[in-house]
Amino acid sequence: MANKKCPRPISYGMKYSPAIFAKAFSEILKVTPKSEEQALVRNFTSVLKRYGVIKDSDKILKELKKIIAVKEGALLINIESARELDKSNIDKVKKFFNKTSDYTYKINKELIAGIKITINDEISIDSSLQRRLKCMK
Amino acid sequence: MYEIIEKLKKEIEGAKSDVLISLVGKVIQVADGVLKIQGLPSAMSQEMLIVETKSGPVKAVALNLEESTLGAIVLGDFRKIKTGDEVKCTGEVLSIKVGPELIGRVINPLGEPIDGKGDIWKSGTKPLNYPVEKKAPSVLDRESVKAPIHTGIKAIDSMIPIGRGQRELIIGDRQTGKTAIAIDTIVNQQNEKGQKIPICIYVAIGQKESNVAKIISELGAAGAMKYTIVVVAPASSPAAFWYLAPYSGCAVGEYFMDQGQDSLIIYDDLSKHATAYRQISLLLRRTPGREAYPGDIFYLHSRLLERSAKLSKEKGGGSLTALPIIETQLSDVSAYIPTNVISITDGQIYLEADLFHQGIRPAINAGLSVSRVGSSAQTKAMKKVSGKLRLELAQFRELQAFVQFASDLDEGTKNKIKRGQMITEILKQKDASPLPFENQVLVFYAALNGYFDDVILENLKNVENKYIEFMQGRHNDDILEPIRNAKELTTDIESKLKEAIQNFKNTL
Repeated sequence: MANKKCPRPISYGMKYSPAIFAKAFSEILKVTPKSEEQALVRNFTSVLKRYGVIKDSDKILKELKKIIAVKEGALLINIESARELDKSNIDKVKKFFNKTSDYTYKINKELIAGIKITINDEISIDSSLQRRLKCMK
Repeated sequence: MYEIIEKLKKEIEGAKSDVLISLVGKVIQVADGVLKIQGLPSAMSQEMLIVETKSGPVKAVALNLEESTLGAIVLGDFRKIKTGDEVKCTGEVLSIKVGPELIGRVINPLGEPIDGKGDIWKSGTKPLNYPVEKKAPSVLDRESVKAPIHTGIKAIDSMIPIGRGQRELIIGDRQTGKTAIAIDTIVNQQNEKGQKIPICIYVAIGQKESNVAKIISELGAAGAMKYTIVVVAPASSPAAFWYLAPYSGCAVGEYFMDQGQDSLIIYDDLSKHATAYRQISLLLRRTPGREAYPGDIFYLHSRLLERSAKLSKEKGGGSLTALPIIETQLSDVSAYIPTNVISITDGQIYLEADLFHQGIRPAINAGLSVSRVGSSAQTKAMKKVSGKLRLELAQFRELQAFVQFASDLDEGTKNKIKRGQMITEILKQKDASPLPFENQVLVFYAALNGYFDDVILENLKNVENKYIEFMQGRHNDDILEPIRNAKELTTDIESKLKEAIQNFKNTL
């Protein structure tokens, strides 16, 4: 455990990617009992502060989400639409995927019409008007 | 009128499935023409990628396949690309469109025209897609090099003959005449009468655009653009273009080789190519080796030059001759890149700055220059007349130190020195004046059989020019034409030649 009164600062030379922090957290989480999870979270935040990467916390959380999704066999689904989608449409999309998948929604007016679904940042299902117009070129 | 609206509506709604499922990645880092991409787990090495930016799609090539990311080089303006931009695979390895329509055009390494003459591939043309990176022909697909490719330069065609399908390196310091040799070779191809002109490809890597424009206008003025293609990656283009230019040029050359034609490719120059590859490798964080070049710098050039070959009759009998150019620093041929390329090629033409400044132009050092194909790539006529040339020049070089003591030497040595000086004078040649091989045969025959021994050194050039004019004017049909057709100096032609030279000398 680090000394709480004067924690050692980490030199700027050592820079680790968000993926490494996320992986380290997920590995330790495996061996941490549920009662100590809050302490783990607190310590992890202070580690991020010491390494000066607290500003990258969004990226670290995103990587962590990916790791947990892979572990549980879930998918990270990002749905972009040109207009606000109502619940029935969203449910139609959700039917195709695993119930445990994580969904994020975004409005992207550049799509003009239709929706674009990205799975795990790797596969894109694009039925937007923007793509169809580009193909017509 | 309303029909067109209905057609448009149908098109927009889409008759077929209108959902596109594709593998995508995201740009996570962009700097100096190099991208780091997350995603695209099934991207192939050298695969073409398309980056969707706000100002339109930008092409890139995947080079580094890492565990969770991809390193790619941008083929275009990397400043249009931002982090977060979507990247798509094309499923195709980088390739270039080739066809006979390329002849006479100036293109960039992606095959796009940059000469302002409009589209290359109009409707009705059927271009083929040739991959930029391709495996070299195997041992069994090849044949030994026998037919000569004449450069029009006396010193080269006599002592360092180049064959069709050979790789001959042109190496020397800056401003020693390397590009001049290459251009003269291209221009001389139209002097080879009775044979199909080889398709010439000039690849300009990292050169000033003004230089390239000058070369293109010189080729155009000499009528050489009718059978030449120029591939340009100018100094202002990204390093990725410098890196790809020789491979694109080689793909174009391979097309003509596969059609059974002879082709000639000039890489000007490979030192800049190595520098560009070093830049790209360092930006992709590949481990640097000697002189900061990556570990596979030898493979960079060997896989390029191995693609030049003479194919067997079963494969069409075509050939691709390569004349790579390397620029040395302070005549150091033992540096890293020059030694690499010397060990790959089938010989080198070594140009020295000292000889150039002494007035010996082309500044070819005959002692250090070699052609490993040798006289198998020479016509019988040239072999007959220039057989002893190298030896006599070598003897002269040994005795050169004694030139100042000319009066104190024995007769034999004096003659050797005089002969050497005469040969050196004969081998000098003006820039942009390639000499057809039959004319060269006549000049060497006269010079090496003592017919010009009584001519003062200072007058020799003048006498040579008059001699060629005399032969072309009076003996084109009975001497020049038979040599050109038969490529041999028969006893019959030789006797006519002796008489003609005597007549010429009487006119002096």
